[in-house]
Amino acid sequence: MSDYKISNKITIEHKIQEFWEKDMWKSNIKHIHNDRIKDVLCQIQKLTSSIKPNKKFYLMTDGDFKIKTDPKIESQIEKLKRENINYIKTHADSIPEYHNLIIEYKKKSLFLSPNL
Amino acid sequence: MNIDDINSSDSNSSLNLSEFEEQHNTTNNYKPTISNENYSINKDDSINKDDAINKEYNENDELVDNDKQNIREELLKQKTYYKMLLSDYKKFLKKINYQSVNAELSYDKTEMSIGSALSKKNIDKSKNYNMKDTGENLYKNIFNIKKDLYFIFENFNGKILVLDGENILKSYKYQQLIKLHLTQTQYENYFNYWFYGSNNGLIQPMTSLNLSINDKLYLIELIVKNHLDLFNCIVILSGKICTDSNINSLFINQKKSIVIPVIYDKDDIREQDDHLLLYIYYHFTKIFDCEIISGDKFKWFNHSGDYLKNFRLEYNFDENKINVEITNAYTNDVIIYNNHKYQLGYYYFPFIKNIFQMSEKSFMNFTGDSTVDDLIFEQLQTLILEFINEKDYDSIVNFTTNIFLILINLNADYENNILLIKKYSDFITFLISKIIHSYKTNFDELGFILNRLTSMSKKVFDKIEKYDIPTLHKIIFDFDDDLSNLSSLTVDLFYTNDDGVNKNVNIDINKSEQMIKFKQNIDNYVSMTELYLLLKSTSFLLNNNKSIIKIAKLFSHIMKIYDKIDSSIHKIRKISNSSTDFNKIFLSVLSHHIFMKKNGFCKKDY
Repeated sequence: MSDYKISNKITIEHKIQEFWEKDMWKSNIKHIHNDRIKDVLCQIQKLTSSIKPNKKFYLMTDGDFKIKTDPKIESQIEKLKRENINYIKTHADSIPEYHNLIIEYKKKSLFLSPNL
Repeated sequence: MNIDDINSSDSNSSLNLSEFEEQHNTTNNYKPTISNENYSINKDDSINKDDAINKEYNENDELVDNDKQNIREELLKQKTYYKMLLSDYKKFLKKINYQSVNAELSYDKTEMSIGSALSKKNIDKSKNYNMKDTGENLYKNIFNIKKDLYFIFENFNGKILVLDGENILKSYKYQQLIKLHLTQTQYENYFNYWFYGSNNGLIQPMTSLNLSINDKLYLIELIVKNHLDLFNCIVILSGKICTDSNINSLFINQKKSIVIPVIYDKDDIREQDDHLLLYIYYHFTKIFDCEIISGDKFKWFNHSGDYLKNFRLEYNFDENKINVEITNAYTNDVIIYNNHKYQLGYYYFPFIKNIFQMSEKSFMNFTGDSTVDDLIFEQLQTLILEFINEKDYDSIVNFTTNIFLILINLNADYENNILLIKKYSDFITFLISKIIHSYKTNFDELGFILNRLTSMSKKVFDKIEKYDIPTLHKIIFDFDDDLSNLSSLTVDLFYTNDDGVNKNVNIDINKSEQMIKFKQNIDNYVSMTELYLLLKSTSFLLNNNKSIIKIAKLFSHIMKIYDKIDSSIHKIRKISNSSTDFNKIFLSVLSHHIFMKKNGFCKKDY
């Protein structure tokens, strides 16, 4: 397998993974009309914004600082994500950002994916 | 016969085996009685050798001792084999996921999720199936083919492929393989119903093959003979009971392969063919190097590991042929061009269907040289526009196919060709959006050409003929349109009283007003999904943000109804089996639901 194919695969997988882990939860609620997804995103975004700077913990890891948020809120967010991720994935066409990701993926892979 | 008895203990084995043998030696109780000359069982004496042996054994007293000994050994061998079949049958039943079967049976106890139209009284109790029926049907089917299984056991060697014939015939990529061996007219005759559904609109496209078992046998034979002749294949096919014909197993390819039809009653929802398919795989996988080929998931079957396999097609442009290889299920096909192999997002790029129809001269030796400049693209644009004006569809399709091939070529050296790749990629976007705009006053032609250039089904366009052109323009091309014009296309499968409040009360099917409203709701739902498919196809090609927001919104509306239907789909399946007007409504809901699944609803590559 050529280096480019490997790097291309990593990029694609990474982008999709990143979308489900981070970007999707920041989607614009205004354009989402699925009640359950909208409700979950609202809750998560509200919880995230409730984390105030003075509630952040700064931990030293590997010579660098890592921000640790309020563990209570963090676990609430994680629970919401865990309980809803499957539903959101099967209803992802309700999220314009998901459409954009797929279109971008198709365009970048030039209508074809390397045979990995 | 009581299946529970069979399952009860090993001590009963001999009794059941006796029954198995006894029935085998007398009459074929389970075999249909009318024969069909074309496809009557194609077995010679060697296949019916057990019968022949019995006859000889009883009638010819002058047989020498050696012969008698051979016969005894043969009978003993058969007996041992049938014992093995029965033993595997018992073990296999335990592999069926009881939970899913019970879940299906318990639907009547659940809350009605799509209204009381699906209440108990409307569902024929006789159509409830349970584990006992499943076991008896499977036993019956194994019994019917035990001689064939013995023949396989004795004579097949090498790798055995167990094929899900029904699944294969319903797959577009295998249909394309079949097409290579038929004329266009023959192909259309066989698959017209599959692609276009019934004339009365009750059966949606891609939900039923509506082929006789003889036709299915013929089509499967085309694939096995032409593409799988190196393997021993066991193909399971299903078909409804025929009154005027009886189909038995058919050996093909010099008896290297066998096609086994499973005849079922229209009320039987237990998918007997799948049970037999998995049983045969389960049985032979212990004896041979055996693979099962299907696109289904068989969630009801408890089996460890990724045992399901499927064919991967290699579209080889270098050799102008299509190769078939066995690989893990759900693997994409590949395209080979200039020795470069690429995974093919087949669903989106069916341009590949033109592989044998390409015309070399149509592309003026344009090879995607890295020195190509903007002038060439301008020339290309001019040419394409000319073709569009002249409605020269063949040239447009050939050009687009060639550009895709150039893109594959350039991908081999991605880093050095990145700028050129972008130019070609943009050109394709330009080309397709130009085509959409050029043909927007003629949806027939637009549908025809997009069907050949993209994954878009012409049927999507055929279905929207009922809408007027200005409405369609607004939906597709007016990006600011927020679909308020579709507000009337809301669907409420619940009965709604005058206050607009949903009440889970019984729908009186004799009150025509309610029937009309119910039917109208379903028609509206179907319309919404048709428009969604249209929008999704075009918005990808046009790549406009507002258009994307619009389809996300429409999708959300649709999914509210889709989820309700999906949660009651087994119930709908049962109720749609009768031919009354009321039940026909549910047949259309079921058929449309399958159509949507085929179009990728709720199936995502995470």
